[in-house]
Amino acid sequence: MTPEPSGTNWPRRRQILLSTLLLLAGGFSGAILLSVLHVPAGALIGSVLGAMAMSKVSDSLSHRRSGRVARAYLRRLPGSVRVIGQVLLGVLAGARLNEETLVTLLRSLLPVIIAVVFILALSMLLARYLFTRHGVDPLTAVMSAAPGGISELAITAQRQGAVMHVVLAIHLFRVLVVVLLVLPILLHILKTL
Amino acid sequence: MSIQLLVLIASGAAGAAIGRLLKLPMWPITGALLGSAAANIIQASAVTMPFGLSFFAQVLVGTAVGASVLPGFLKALGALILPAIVVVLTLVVAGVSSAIVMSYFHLIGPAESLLGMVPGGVGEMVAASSALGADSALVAGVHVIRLLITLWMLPFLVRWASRWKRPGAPARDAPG
Repeated sequence: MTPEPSGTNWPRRRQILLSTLLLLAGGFSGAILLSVLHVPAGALIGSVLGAMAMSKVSDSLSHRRSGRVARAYLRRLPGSVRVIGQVLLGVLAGARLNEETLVTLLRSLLPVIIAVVFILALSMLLARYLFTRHGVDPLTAVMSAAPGGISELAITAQRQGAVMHVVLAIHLFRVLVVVLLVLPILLHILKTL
Repeated sequence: MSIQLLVLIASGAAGAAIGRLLKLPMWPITGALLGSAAANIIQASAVTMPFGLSFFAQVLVGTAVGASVLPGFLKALGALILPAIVVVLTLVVAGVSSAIVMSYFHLIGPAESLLGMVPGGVGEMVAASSALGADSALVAGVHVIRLLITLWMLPFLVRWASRWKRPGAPARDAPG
C-alpha cells in the first residue's frame, strides 16, 4: 500500500487529477473524431460532446465503485484548463491583430454599440417576460436574460443574491445551443457564401 | 517551436496576468490578445501560428464547456425549458439579424459579424473563428465591446427591474 503524504488531501487531489485526465481524454477524442470527419469547427464541437460523454461515463462508473463523495470530484475540471485555452486563443487572436483589424473595429464601433444596446433592450423585455409569466424574481430575470459572459454574470449575480441555479442553467443552455446547434448552421451558411 | 512563437505565448500570458490584475472583462482572452499583439508589433515579423496550437486551445475551451454540464443540469433546466428556449432563440435571432445588417453595409465581413454578434461564450466564438480562419481578433473585439456595455449597464437595469411589480400585488409603500 502506498503511503499517503501527511497533511495533504491526497485522495481528493488524485480524484481531481483523474477527473481532469478523463475529461481531457474525452474532449480530445471527440475533437479528433469530428476533425477527421471534416465537421466544421469539429475541434470545438467534438470536445464539448466528448467531455459531456466522458462526464456521463465517469459518473456512472464511479456510481458503481466509489459512492457520492468521489462522484462529486469525478465531475470536476480545474478552472485553469479553460483559462489556458482562452489565453492561447487570445495569443492567436493577438498575433493576427493588424492595422486593418483595428480600422474595421473602429469603423464598426458605433453600429456594434447600437446593436448591443438593441440586444440589451430586448433582453430587458425577456427579463420582464420571465418575471410576469414564470414568476422569476426581477434580479434573477435580468441576470438570466443579459447577453453577458457566464463567468462575469455569475460573479455579479451571486454578489447581488440572484437565484444562481436559474441564472447558470439558462446561460449554460445558451452556450450549448449556440455551440452545438447554431454554430454548425452558421458555418454551413458561411461556407456556401 | 520558434523563439518568436515562444515570445508571443509568454507575452500573451503576461498580458493575461496584467488583465486579471486590472479586472478586464474576459481577461484571459483580452489580456493575452493585447500582450501578444504588443509583442507582435515589437518583433515586427509575421509569426506563423501552428495549426496544433489552435486545435489544442479549442479542445481546452470545448472540454471546459462539456465538463460544466453536470448531472443536475437537465433537472434544473427541466422546469425552465420553455423560458430558456424563448430567451436563447430571441437573443440568437437578434444577434444574427444585427450581424446581417452590419455585413450588408460592409462594416464587417459576414463571418466576423456573425461570430461576433451571436451571444455564445466569447471563448467559444473566438475558437470557432480561429477554426474558420476568420479574423479572431476582430471577433474578440466585438465580444469585448458587448461585454463591456452589458456589464456597465447591468446595475442600472437591475435597479430599474427592482421596481417591477406583479399585476395585482399590493404597493409596498402604501400609506397605512
